[in-house]
Amino acid sequence: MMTEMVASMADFPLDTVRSTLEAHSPPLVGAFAFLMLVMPLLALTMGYDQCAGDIETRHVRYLAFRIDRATLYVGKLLGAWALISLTIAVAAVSMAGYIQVRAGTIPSIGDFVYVGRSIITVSVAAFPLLALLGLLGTLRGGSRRVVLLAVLLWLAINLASATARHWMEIEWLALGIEGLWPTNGRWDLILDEWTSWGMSAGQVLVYSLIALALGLAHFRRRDL
Amino acid sequence: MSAAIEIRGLEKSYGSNKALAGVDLSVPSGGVFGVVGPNGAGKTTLFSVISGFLRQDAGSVTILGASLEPGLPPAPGTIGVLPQDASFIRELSLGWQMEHFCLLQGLSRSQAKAEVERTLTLVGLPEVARKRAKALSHGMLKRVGIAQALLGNPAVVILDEPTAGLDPHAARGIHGLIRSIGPSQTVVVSSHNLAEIESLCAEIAILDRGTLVRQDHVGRVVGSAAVLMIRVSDAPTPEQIEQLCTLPAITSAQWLPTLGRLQLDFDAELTSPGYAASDVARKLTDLNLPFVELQVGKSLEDRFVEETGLGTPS
Repeated sequence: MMTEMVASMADFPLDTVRSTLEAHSPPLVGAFAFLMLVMPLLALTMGYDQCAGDIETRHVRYLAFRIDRATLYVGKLLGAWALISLTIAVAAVSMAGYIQVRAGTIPSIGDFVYVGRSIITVSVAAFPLLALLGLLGTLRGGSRRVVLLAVLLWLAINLASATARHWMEIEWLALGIEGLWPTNGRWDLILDEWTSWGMSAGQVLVYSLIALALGLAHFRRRDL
Repeated sequence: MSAAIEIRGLEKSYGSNKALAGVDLSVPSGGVFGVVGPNGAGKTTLFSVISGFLRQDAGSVTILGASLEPGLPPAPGTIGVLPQDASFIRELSLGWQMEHFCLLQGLSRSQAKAEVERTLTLVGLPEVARKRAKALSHGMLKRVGIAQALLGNPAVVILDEPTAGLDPHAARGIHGLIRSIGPSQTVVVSSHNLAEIESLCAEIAILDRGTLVRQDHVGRVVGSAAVLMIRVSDAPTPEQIEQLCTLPAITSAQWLPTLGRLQLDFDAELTSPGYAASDVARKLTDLNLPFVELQVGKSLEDRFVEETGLGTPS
């Protein structure tokens, strides 16, 4: 059951998931996949208002003559990241604790390491989405507009990628379009095959750097 | 006296609308400096560029000798700003927010607590530190805004319409506060209340349509015309006005119905303003034309209207 659940969430073949479930406690793998599933929603609800709300209410003017804009922008982004990472950590530890209590087993060192890995992986995978939300915030300067824009962007990218895959049947184009949304490649990160990580880790890194650089450059130039 | 703020060729546009069109301004160190102008004159844009909120299209701003780099704030502790329409975070306590501002300025936590207490006491609101922003009225938030501008005793304090929305009692308290900080720090203040600016400031700049119309001492601005402005109870008759013109130094007299004042121009080379005023007062009594106010020179409001070419100041 767990195999099918994880495979359906991540859209993986059953064999791929089975090998991961054999290597780790299946409920912990399920918890990891669940956190990966809800992570974009968490990031959106907890990270949409980095600088956007402060720009909208002009609260940013109380800050902007006290510290430089780069510190302000990066500080807000890191603050949102810390908040989400903490939430993910609390959720992961709570789920793992509940699973162990229900199972009545003593957790192994490997279980602790796996929970730690899941917290770090989900947190890192959330960063490019937060960087994108920060960029949208400085571009539009309104927190509700950030949420709306992010949802519209997500819809547009997924529709375009589905069109490329199913109607045009051009797989490389579909993959390329999918890569425009920062969390689309996150599922590869729950697998144990390190070779499958390359593309997703690269997307996390490149997306984060580009979104952060664009957001920072715009925030430093924009009127507050 | 060296300049606290030196502005050269400052330009800023919003699309096709030129908010600042090459402003040159020099704010002297110490004292209260006023910036006045009608709506859309560029006062808030000027303050926003000085504070680093807006990037200028051209020109330079120097604060206490250091050139202001766009996107970077002035050196820590250099300026304190009351922005016109900034708001505090509604759900957080004001004391916490102000302490946070102090920490950003580089103060220690204990210094921050002391500064918050000091500045809130200065504006007469020591009790609001524990309150959330949403619990305070507009006027009280304005006063807390002034308090945050004074955190850390900055050398230059920029106050954009500090008494807008305040009741007369609170406004008077803020006037006293501005006068008390004026000598040790440089305070730059804008206001639509020209009587306020006249009473607070030693020197003013008049902006209109993004350009500096005039920068001078208030006394020279209001007293530069050889004129007496007289507020009378009833409108004078043409004969009474004619009689006033017979006085030796009076060159012309006219009734200004919109201002409710009689304007008498005199020849400053023939007589001093004091003697001209005494002669006119006697003549008004002779003419049975009671007056309630006699002012040598014009009010800042009158001068403002003349300098900016407006019908009424806003």
